[in-house]
Amino acid sequence: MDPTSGCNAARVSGFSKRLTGMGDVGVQAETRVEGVTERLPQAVFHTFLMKVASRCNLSCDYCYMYHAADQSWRRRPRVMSEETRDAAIDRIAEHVVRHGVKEIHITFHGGEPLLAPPAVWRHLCDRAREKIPAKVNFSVQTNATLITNEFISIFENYQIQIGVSLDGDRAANDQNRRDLTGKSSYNKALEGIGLLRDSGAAPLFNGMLAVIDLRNDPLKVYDALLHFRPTLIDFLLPLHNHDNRPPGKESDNGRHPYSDWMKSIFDRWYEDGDASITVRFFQDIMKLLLGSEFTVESLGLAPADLVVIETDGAIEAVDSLKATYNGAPDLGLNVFDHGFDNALASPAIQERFLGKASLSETCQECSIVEVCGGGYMPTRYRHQSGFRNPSVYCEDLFDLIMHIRRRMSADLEKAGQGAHRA
Amino acid sequence: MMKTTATADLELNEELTNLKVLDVGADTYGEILRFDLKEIDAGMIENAVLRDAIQQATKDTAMHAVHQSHSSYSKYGSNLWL
Repeated sequence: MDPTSGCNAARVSGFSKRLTGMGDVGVQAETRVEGVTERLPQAVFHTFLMKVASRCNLSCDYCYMYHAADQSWRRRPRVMSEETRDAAIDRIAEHVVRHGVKEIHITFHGGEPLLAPPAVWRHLCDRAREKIPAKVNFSVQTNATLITNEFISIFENYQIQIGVSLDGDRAANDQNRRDLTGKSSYNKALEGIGLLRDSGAAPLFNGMLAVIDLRNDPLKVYDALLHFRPTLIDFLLPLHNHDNRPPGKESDNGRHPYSDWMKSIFDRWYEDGDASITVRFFQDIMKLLLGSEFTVESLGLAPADLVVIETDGAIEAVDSLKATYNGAPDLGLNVFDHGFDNALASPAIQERFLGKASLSETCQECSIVEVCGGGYMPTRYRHQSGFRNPSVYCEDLFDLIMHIRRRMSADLEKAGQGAHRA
Repeated sequence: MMKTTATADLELNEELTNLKVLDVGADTYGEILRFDLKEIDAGMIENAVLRDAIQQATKDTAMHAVHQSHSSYSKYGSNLWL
């Protein structure tokens, strides 16, 4: 069977051109992809991002869903229908069986996923448990403002791990995370987190995610997040690129304000020495410096094994690509007509399995490429040259990684261990 | 970006000189940059955050080896933080 049958070739080819930054590259990309397929016959998806709701009750300034280049949310159903949910789960089951996958992750996402009614959640979870012959781990990323006792009961029943998005204290959070009328979302988020932490689902509350805003004091942000006693905190670089540069980095001038911001927190976290709190971005850098093959979407070179299912059943590449250009994540596939092998075969997904070979020459020759992985894909984008550029945060990533390496080196030297070379 | 790369190399050279590891025979900076997990005993590390990272990296590496032996490009947990 031709896994690309039915695929919207024009759209995929268009994506390839942007990815490679070359002229008429469709054929070349396909040729290369054939080679990749031969080298990676077992490439499979393990993480399925389910967009159960396409809208949000907040209107965060930096949101890649609503305030970036891609506006596809406007034409999608507000909530994933039963028909789409059934088809999506059946396709996941098909993929699991075909590839002998033992364990998968289904992440509920949006928009704000809690805008989907509880019945939608129960149906999806029940159907997944019933149809998918593998261990299914559920998780959700929420702004916490819509958490109710009914949702908490669902989290408990299906052991859904919960990640909460919050940017720090009230002042920091209000910089960007406001509702549709411009009002602060902070109190509602606090109420939701409080409800969660006082419930039987508290052990499922496993992390907090904050998007970096240079206007906020980093240590105040860190303290505010620690207040909720999460076991895991993560910081995200805002999804900017070379055409839409980050605040504070309007040009390539060698400055690294985002690294400076993060270094303050790294030093505090590292010196506190409390291993019960993981700051994920930092720990991932440390693990990669230690030679780990582990990777996340934003670091390292291992292939990303994630695929997105939109509320209308569209199968898409990583959704943060929405920050780059209109239609960027579009593969021309949907769960009604295509299996996930079609997605695996598409050039846009195959690029993500190429590792170092998908990066710019500058990145491929750089000393830290095994750690930074070229930076998060959306942050590499430039209209003229596609994704084959260093990240717009290149200077920041380099400075931060070297800083972390220096701190680690000092302690490894102190312990009398060489450990210099991977 | 060339400036960044040049700066990177310069800084890295300084790092390596300071650490006196230029004699390890590595042929690229990439090889030298990362620490060798096999040479590290986590029990000797005072800093708990570093110790934990070493333990986590050890687990990742072991699990990676298992997955590789099954010819799978699998991950060992969700690789996504949303």
